[in-house]
Amino acid sequence: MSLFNPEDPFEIDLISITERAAVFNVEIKRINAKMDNAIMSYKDFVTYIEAILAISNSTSDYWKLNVVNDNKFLTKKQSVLLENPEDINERLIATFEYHVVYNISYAVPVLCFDVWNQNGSRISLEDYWKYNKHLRDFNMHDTLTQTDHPALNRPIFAFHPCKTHEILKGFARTSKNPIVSWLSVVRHFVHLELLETYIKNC
Amino acid sequence: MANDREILREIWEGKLPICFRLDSEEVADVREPDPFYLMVPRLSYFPLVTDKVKRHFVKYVDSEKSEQEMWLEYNGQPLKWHYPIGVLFDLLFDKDEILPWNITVHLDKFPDAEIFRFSNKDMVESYFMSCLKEADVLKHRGQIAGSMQKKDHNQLWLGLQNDKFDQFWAVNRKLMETTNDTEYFKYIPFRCYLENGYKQKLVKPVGDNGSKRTLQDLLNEMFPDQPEVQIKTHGLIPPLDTPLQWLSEHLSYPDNFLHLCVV
Repeated sequence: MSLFNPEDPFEIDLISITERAAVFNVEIKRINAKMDNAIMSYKDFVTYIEAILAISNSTSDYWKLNVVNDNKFLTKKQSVLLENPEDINERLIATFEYHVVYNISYAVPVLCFDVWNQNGSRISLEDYWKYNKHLRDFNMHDTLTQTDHPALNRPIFAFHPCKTHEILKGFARTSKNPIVSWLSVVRHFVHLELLETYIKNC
Repeated sequence: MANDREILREIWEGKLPICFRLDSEEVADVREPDPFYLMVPRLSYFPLVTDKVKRHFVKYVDSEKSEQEMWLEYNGQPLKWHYPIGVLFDLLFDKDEILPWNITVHLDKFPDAEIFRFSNKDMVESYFMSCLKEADVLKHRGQIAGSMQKKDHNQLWLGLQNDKFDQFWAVNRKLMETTNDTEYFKYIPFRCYLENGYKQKLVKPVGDNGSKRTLQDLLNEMFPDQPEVQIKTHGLIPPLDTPLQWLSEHLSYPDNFLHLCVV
């Protein structure tokens, strides 16, 4: 059934349009249902981070699974050379510790991190912002915040979880491990390396 | 929607007398600085009310340290000043002491692994708004805070910062309404504080059989092994049969969370 009726080029096939609209509506409903499913339970969160840990262990990557006060979360330490995009002579070696934790209110994973310079002192949020070209187009306070680590009860930097749900929605239908898919999107903001193996397995 | 308006106002007007003293080891002047007294709103945050405290003490410290960020300490612990002042008081104030609350001021060795760094008021605002949005995610799936305009957010923030009840509540009442023909929030935004931090859980204000759930139900869920546990908020110990929906509408802090300190 085509939209175009060769008998009369100006008469659009209305039945076909209605049918297509119906199909479209079903599709939207299906996506919406999936979108609701993009809310991740803590149980699912644990399944996904354990899958990441399994790949990490088999590839000699350095993700660690932590259990504190009944909360499970992943951590990884990594050193990175940071350059100020506006002045390449301004550089520093930063050590990141990434934490992938669960946020109960938003029902999503949250990427948190601590970042130190070489003398062991913490880098402030403003300084960190300056060194990352991926962050330039965003408002700092809407994107990164200090937050209470849900398991350790101490301050840590975090990506605000309010956008995470949207990112997860985009992967809801295709990804076997939505945490890996989401990390592949947000990792650039924190210089997090993610081996191909994770992406291939999700 | 909150209808016991006089209760909202009573809660809003709660204040605490505080005596700030500079840590004696940081005094670099021959004169010992006078203590600094303030009445502060329980619902506010220390970084919003202590500019004057810093100005008062900064001239007594080593000039090299005068640019450093201030922090506060009570009983040997840095105050987690991202908690509202009333929460810190209910959680930490030693029952054997008398008011005013004696707090030590530091301008050196900021403990950044333990407390938030609030270099300016924007950072406090950002934190406050993120709590408020989180509360709305729990109550209304984030639909009310999300549909508000920037000017509404500003009005909430300025209302709190300038201690203006009417300004704050003109917008906050929308966040305290219920939607979709129900008289309940989806979940109750609350934090239950123990000595070294707080816990959150998803708790509904209404049972599967349609009955109103109470503070007792919440505590049973949080502490199944401790039937005797009691909590304090705004200096009060609310009766355990208080319905959760009423508690949330009337005794939440401006960030829209109930902050419950286990006593």
